[in-house]
Amino acid sequence: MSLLDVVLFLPLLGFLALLILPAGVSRSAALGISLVIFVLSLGLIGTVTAAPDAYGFEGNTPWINTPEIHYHIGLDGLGLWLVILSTLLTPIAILVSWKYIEQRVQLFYAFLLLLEFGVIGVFVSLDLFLFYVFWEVSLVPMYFLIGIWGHDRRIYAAVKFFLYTMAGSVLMLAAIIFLYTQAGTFDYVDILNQLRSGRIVLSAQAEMLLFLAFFLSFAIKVPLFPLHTWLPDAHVEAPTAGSIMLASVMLKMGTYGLVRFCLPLFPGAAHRAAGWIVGLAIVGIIYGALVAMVQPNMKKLVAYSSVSHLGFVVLGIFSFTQAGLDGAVYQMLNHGISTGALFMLVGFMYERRHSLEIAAYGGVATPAPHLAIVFLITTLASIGLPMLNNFVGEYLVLQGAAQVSMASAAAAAVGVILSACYMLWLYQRAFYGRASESLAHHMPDLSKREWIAVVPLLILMLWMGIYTQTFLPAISARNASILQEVNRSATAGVPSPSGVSPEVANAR
Amino acid sequence: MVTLALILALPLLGALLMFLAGRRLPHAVISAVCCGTALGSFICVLLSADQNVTYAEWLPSLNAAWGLNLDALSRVMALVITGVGFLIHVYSVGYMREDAGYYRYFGYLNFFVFAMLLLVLANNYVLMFAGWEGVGLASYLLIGFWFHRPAAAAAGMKAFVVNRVGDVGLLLAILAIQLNVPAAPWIAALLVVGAIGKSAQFPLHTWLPDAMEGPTPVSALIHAATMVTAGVYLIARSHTIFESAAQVSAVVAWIGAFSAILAASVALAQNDIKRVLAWSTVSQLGYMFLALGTGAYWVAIFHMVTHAFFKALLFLGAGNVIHAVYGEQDLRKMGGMRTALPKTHALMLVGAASAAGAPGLAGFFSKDAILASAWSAPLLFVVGMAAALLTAAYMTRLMYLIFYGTAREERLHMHEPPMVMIAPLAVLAVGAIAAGYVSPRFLLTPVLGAEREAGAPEWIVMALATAVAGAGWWFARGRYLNSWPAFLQRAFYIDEIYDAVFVRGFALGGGRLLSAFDARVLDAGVNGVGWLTRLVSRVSIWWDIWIVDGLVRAASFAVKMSSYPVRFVQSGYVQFYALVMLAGLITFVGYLFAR
Repeated sequence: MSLLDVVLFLPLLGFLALLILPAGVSRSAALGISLVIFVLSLGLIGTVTAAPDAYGFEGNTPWINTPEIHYHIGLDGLGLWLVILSTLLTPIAILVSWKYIEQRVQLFYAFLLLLEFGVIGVFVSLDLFLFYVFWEVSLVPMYFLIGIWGHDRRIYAAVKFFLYTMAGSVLMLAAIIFLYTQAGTFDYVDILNQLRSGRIVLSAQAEMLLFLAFFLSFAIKVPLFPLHTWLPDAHVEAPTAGSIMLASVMLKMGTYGLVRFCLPLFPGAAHRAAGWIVGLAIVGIIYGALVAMVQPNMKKLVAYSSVSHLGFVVLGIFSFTQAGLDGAVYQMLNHGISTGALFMLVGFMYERRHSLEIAAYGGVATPAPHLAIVFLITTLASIGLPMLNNFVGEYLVLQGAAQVSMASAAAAAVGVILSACYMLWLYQRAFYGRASESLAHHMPDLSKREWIAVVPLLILMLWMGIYTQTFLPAISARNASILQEVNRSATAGVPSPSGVSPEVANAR
Repeated sequence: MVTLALILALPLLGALLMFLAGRRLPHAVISAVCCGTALGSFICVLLSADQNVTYAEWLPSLNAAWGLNLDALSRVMALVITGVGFLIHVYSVGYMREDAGYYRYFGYLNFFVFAMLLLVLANNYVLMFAGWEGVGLASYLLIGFWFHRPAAAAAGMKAFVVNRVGDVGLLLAILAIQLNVPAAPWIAALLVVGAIGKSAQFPLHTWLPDAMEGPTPVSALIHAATMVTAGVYLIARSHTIFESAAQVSAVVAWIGAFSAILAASVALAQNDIKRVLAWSTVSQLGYMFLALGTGAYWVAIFHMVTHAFFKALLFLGAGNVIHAVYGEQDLRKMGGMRTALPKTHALMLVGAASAAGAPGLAGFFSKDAILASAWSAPLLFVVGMAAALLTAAYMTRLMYLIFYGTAREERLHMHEPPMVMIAPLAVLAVGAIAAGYVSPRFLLTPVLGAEREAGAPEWIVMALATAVAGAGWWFARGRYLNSWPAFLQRAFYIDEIYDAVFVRGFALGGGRLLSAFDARVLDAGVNGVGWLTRLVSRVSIWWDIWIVDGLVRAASFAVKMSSYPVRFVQSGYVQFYALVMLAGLITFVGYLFAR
């Protein structure tokens, strides 16, 4: 049993333990378990960064005999930091819920750990069927987190979230089964080898259909414009911890899937569809930003800003360049940290004033200066100020996009201007000006617990902005080999008449 | 290597100390630390030799590193930033003495000095961009320093957003430079977009007048002497790109000339003491752009230095005036203050005369060099001269409205500020007089190259410049109480146009439109699919009940119907069966008998 098995299954054990343990200790138990998982997960770093291009801690044992499904897991430079992000944010989400969750406490924290189990599973699965199982497992706890502990329209939002994601993943399941009929295995590494060695040959049409089935499922999760409308509802209705986990970790399942599966499995189709996808990504960047601008609800504003930010990630992925792909993966982590922090801070404000409307605030900086400073730093990170994390990701993505076409970089850069507009306007309306009497009395500054929850994220914002060498080399090394294969297969295999030609992408 | 790093480290440490512990420190410690770091940084600039050092990697794949470069150009910039910066720190000790956010103010100010030094000392464009955004942040925080005032909060945001437009231009230019695309005019054009944002040139100049919502020493340091010259530095630093893009250079010259005359004419009509100076700054930066556009890069830096002295002097003088009249900034309510503020009057007079181009003072020499560089383009030269006339006019009007004539409003207890708010002005005044005699030409030409020989007869330019300055003084002296047309006071309504087109049109209008689209089309589509699913399920329930199950029930109904007569007799009563049996027996027996 490797360390990765432990990190993967501890959350599940924690989930079961919490159901058995008395309700009084469940939040402390959940916090303890999740911290242990986090500390253990740090042990994964050394091995994986030493050989980021291989699957570290690989485990492969049969699970179901017919059809042959393996419990095949492994961790490489692409999944490493996403796993760490998940294990870091779970204890933070627990801390954030400490006082807010008062009903069915036991079940709430149990579901948070089950969610952690699901998302870690997604990031380490190397068997397509196993991946699909984890993909669906992660849906269930989130469905209940929104549906039970959410706000007024929680049932609508939870059902919408569940059904929308399900609709996409069913297509993916069909594609996985089709691949099984061709390759005779669900094993991702095996299928990839068969595709590359020519043991299975997909016609251009079949490749495109399979690509689209996977892509649609991931694009809904990202979410890519115009498949994003479940996100604002889910965020607005979810409890703070739900929003944090949803934005920070679950959305990354989509972008991770694109890099892990869509590109390597179907390089030709990915190249052919890139033109359209890049177009949607750029539309999403500007569209999300403009819609965020006019939202009167803080959570909705942050939700639409996510649509804009994740447009950058998709843009980077489908630039098929080293800088673009590095930036995309880095931006997945950045978005997890800064948007997670934003949802956390909005949650803190909600706990004080019981409103998500921007108009209910104003002048918060006077009674709560520390909250204001932390919110400002997070805002600055979110709008991509250099020396904070998002800048590095956005810059690399734009660099990658510019290598393919300066025009698409310029169009995406409009989003950089707009992000400053909507975030600073939000900040101005909520924090500046004079505080009303009632607000001043109900706006205590950050508590010790709240500080502890937010400080790790602030440190990471600075760390990832200033010293990228901790994180980027492992990502970069893995991306380089993915990209090499993808661009080679795309040129060698199916001709790519439209979209971005890899020659252009690789030039310079 | 150590002193070079210290240049940046000192103000950064000062800022960090203020943010982490400043709330608990006494004013004296705060003042000593923050003024000390600025002065220490100044000394380190003097002590450091020219060098280019890379300390650590940042984004190795993109040649972005933590590295600094000190050469003649960055040394001149750094000396102005730390030198003028130190004086303004000292002045702030007096000016901000009673402010509750004293530590926060000095923290921001030290952070600004750090970011500005990073901007001019960075040895690669990506790191320079970090400084570029850093000064934008400092500017945002300091404009909105009194954030409980809605106007200050709005002005801070406006400055940041308008700057962001320029920043994106610069960012794209840096992307192109990183890609090693052959130097092309469009790269130079993108750099210009960045430069005009930061340096408040037309058409991105609208944020600077609003930035006057910040404390006055901030206006002196950031929005006059240093930050707004970052655009000038950027173009000078990238001069090799511009040398191969003649058309773009011409555009730069024209942007500068146009901004110079536009802003000078607007300055003439302003009634707020700080807004006059803000528009004057736009105008003087226009001169620097004019010099850049004509290829006289060192001349632009020369004017940047002299401008830093006389404009910082004027702003700090304005601070003293505002201090004396308890926050009043309306020139129409001042007048006759010469007797109450003799020292401030004398010092500001030096600044105004230097700005107006009085012969022998610093501004005269640098402006003269700019006009000489434009000699070969007659139209630019004429516009430059006209702006010089307007400069002398608005400076005259400003001085007369404050200090001369009679007080237009009764005021009590007007007095000079403490020494700490006079001494820095005196040092700046020395610079505003003498800086013209230390031309940085020979220092800068190795870095920036010599300007093209414009062939201007030196004494004609000087005589003309002196003449227009005199004319401006003579013109404004008798008319300083005039009120000016609304379109000048409102700066040609450019703000109103931008507000309608970009803010309410594009951003808010577009946002509302797309938001409606999101709810009524996209999300309605999703909900529609849900509705359709339910409709289909209703139809299939109907089909199930009435057709599928209906057939079954119809069959059973048919059986039931056909069994109806039979069922009639199957009543289940024994008596009835007996009766029927009896009736049958009787019928049968009757039949037998009847036969």
